[in-house]
Amino acid sequence: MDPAQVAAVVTWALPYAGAVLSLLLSRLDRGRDALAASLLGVSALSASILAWDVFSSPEGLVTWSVPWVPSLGLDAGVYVDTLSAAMALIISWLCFLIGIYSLEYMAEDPGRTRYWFFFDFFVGSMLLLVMADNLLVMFLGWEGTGLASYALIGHWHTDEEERCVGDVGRRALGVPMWFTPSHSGLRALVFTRLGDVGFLVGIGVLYLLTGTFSIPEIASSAGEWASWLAARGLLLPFLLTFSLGAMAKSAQFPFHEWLVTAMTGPTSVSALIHAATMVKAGVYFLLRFGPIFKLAQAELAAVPAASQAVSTYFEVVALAGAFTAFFMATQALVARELKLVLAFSTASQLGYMFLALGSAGLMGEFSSGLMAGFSHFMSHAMFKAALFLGAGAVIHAVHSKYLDDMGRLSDPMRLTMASMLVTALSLAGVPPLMGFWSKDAVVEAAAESGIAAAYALGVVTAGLTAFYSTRLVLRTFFYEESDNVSRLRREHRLHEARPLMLAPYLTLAAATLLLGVAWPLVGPRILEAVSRNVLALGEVPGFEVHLEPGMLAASLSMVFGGVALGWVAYQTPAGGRLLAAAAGPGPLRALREFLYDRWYVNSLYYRVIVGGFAWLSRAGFRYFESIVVDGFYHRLVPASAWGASELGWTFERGVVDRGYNEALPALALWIGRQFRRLQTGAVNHYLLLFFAGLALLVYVLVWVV
Amino acid sequence: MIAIAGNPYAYLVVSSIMFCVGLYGVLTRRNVIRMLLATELMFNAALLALLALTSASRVGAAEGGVLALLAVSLGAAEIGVVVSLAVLMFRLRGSLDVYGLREGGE
Amino acid sequence: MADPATTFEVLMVVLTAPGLILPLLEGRGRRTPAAVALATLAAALALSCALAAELTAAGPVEIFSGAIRLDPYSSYLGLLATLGALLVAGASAPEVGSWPTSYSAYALMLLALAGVHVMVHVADAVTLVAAWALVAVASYVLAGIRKDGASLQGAMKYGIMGAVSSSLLIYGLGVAVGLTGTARLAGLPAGVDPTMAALGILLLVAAFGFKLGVFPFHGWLPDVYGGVHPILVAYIAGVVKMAAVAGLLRVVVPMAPGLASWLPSLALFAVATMTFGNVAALVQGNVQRMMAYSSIAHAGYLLVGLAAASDPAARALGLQGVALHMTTYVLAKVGIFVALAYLVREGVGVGLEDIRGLGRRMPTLGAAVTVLMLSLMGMPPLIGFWSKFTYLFLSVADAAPWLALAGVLNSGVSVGYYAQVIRYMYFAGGPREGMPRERVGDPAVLVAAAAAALTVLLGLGPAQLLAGLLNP
Repeated sequence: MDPAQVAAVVTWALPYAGAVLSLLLSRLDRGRDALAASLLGVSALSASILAWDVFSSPEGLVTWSVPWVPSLGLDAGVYVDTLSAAMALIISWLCFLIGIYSLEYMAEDPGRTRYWFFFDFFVGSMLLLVMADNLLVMFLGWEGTGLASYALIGHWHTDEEERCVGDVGRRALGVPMWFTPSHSGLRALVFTRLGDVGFLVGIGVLYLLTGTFSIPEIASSAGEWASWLAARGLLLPFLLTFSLGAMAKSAQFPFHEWLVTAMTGPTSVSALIHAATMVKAGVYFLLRFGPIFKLAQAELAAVPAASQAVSTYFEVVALAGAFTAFFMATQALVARELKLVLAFSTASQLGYMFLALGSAGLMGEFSSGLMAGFSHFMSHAMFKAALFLGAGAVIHAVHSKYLDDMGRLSDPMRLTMASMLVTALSLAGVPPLMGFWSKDAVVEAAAESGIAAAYALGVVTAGLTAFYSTRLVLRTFFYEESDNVSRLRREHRLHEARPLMLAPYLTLAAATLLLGVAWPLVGPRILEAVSRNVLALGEVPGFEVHLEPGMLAASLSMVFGGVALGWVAYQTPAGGRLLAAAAGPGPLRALREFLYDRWYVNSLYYRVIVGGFAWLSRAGFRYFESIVVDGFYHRLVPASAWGASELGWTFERGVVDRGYNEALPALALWIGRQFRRLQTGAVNHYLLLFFAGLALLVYVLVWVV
Repeated sequence: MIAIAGNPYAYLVVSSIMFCVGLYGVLTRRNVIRMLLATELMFNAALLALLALTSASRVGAAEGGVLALLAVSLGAAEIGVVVSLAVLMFRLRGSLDVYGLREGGE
Repeated sequence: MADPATTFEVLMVVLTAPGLILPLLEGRGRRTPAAVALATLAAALALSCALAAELTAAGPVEIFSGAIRLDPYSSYLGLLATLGALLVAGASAPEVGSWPTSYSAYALMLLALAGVHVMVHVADAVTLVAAWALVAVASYVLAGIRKDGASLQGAMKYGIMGAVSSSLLIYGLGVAVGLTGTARLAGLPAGVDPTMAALGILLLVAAFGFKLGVFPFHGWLPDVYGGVHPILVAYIAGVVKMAAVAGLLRVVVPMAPGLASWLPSLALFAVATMTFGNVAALVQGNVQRMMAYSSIAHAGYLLVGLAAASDPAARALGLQGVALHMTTYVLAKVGIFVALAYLVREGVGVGLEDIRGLGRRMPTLGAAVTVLMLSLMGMPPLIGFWSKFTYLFLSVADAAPWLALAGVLNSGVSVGYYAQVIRYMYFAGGPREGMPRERVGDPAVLVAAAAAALTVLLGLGPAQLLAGLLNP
């Protein structure tokens, strides 16, 4: 093994080792924390060595694999092209910085063993994911991140009230809108697992069609399997199903709900998982497979239906991204918790990345859209992580998660304020910060895609983003001082964050500033280096940073308009009156409630799916029960049983309505309970079921099949 | 239909009738011993059908016959064991009503 | 190395002789039965390994004029059953020894295992009925061996339903022997009436499926698994079940090729069973009952692997999948029920509420149970993942993609309840006062840990396992 290969393996393996060590050495306490974090540092260094090798070598590729299951043609290994190297580099350094922050932030937490175990386990899985050379290993990493996020989101599983997301006691359409950490962990797992089903189906299909799990081999045979699928009209369904995992992991509509309630985890976890890494797994998926799909489209150019299928796929991705961006941004406008604003913002920005990657497939030059998505990934990771880390410091300082309990914090927390100001402006897309360049690239790609709605949503959302970013900074640091802050100030308990916490996000803020300023010069070179050797991408023309006046005017006017509006709203008396109007009765308030309750999507999920299936299950079971009871005489009671269940359901509605507070699991629980009632304990009933089932099957199989 | 020596369907019809009677008994009786009686009836119905179905060829008939004889004794053993469980049940509960065993259910 | 026939005969003697003699030794001390059983099972395990090795080298062998056909695949199943029996016997030593009926209990375990060994190799209907009766009767008595109310209701239901299904077995064998013209268990000749064939298969699936826990023949299973003492359930779930699988494999599967209705028939059973099992498991508040429904669900997955048998291309993979599945299943169920038995012995209950915080007080046990649950869930890189993968994807994904999809969806649903157990053990708050610390030296804990370790090891190296399994 040459040094680059060693570096590649160490990068993902060391965090796993760190996880195991942090369990075994838990007695070392603080020492163990430092060890876990420093192993991340070594991993980051290793990723840097790897990246240096990949970027400087002519092939731009490092691979390594060992045979795992020969009879299945399965190897385990890494395939690090320039894209993977760049992602591993960014991810590992971000994780290291957040690790340093965690040393201080989690210093008093009693569950540190669990925390560090899952933290390092998570980092290892994420790095494995982006460097995997075959689908099964990638899926291993994927699932690992899911498991770790479940554990970390539910870290404070004792479910104290202050750890919940949402206002305790609030309901929308009868459904509770506050979520405990343990419930949130479950939601995260369920929503992403749903998507993973699609991912797994896709993996299975690809294996069957190509006989291999290896991603490079799948890329090289793209024409064959795509034409097989296209010939059966399955290409578009396959592409969409395969991407379901990515959509769910990256919290695109309709899988976005988990990200919102994932804020129950410690803020460092929110930074790690929801800014820097896990949610980006879906973006990586598109970055990795987008070129492969595009390649398939090129090879099938002669078959218009197939080529159209791929285009439709990219359109769906772009529109989903654009809609999610808009949808989540509207919710960020009215959020009352600091972290929730950032959560909505993350989902919204992820929507931008999907918009870029979807548009890439529809543009003339695919790679430019691809790199637009990549650059937004990179810039978002930096500024969002900084925002989350800063938010953690603020929340820690004021002992509250609500914006209402902040205000006028610029004095005691100057550095934090500076960092959050810079990164918020980057989020808003104010030049010359990094966020501006990347968002501009995304919007340009959207314009070139030819989907007017996507472009329009992208532009409008930019304005919304600017507004809520401004709102965030103003309300936290410059708005009227809340009673909470006044009290803390009087007691001399307000202070700046400690150095170990401060340094990471200051570093990231500086990075977003410097990178932004230098982008016209270094940007193209960075993008060229990253896209030099990407699997299935082929030759890439050079990049340049150019600003098209018309679009620039549109976006900048939205950005500055948003910022200005935010300033007016929160710093002037006229704005104050407007806000008061929004709080009082009237249409503004109704709009506000609508957005605050997340467009009622969450409530609809709980009511429609649970309610609908509960009704079905009740009605179905009542029908069966009358057979069992009447069984001795074999009387079927169709009409009266249905009627009875209708009446029963109307009564039941009052009781059932109050009973649920779980999502899709509840649907299965209901059916499960009905199934459970088959076990009456009387063997006669069991035998009846035995023979009734047998008779039915005989009928079906002998006469029907 | 497969070839059966003698009158092909008569045996199967009788077997089916016996089976259904047994089935009715096992479904509707609450007394364990009665259920076992019905089970025995079903078992014998099955043996009858076995003999009828295998009577087409000589080899089949011979082997089917051996199988039936063996099954008779083994079936007796099986039922005997269940009867001993019934004895235990009577000792523990003083009754042979299967509905008394319902606590295992939900 | 002797020849396989001799090894097999020695194995049978080794199992049945102590089994028959043990009850006669009644009264010679509390430790004797467990010691005898363990020694016997250890010897049996060694003999099973030898048998498997010999058969892998030499190829299939027929003995007793064709009544028994020894081949590598079935010898592996026998090996698994023996391993399961050994693990259960080892774990049960401290506890069962104190029961008044301990001599009989161990004797029954040995005799049932002997029956299982015959079942996996059987090639003739007459021998089948004999072996089946042995296993069945032994398991009814074993279920009720404690002679208390909870075991009794389970054993009674098991017995009654078993007797009923025996008559179905006779019916099915009647059709099979009638169609093939011989009591030898071979495939169906060409040109048989498909209706008769389908009927015969259905009856046989009902008879064997009853013991396996296939819906709608599963009625006894939750009550027996939930009510009987977990150490006995470990045996019933781990070892006796192998007899049912063997029955299906040796009797029903050879009838599969070329039969158009095979795949839909089995698929229907499979989907109904796995869905019922998984969904019902979700609402259980008692881990033991939950595992009962999980067994039902796994019976469903097993049928998926068998469904592939009619398609010559997928058949081998399907059967390999079945072997892997039984490996996962035996290890997991034995391990989990042994762990539950330990909990019962220590005074901790088996409800979800009772295992709160178990991971803290009993780390080894908790870890072992977690690994086994993850294996049942199908989490890579444990053996459970490989088995699910083989029989779900590789075997049927070609012929019946919707069946594979149903399997995957069901696996997804099953995460719900396995994760619940893990959650209660680790993430649901502290243990109740009074929950004792584990004693790592206790046989039950060791057995559970061993099962978990095997699950991990075999999962990391499934290639070796697959290579060793020749096509059946």
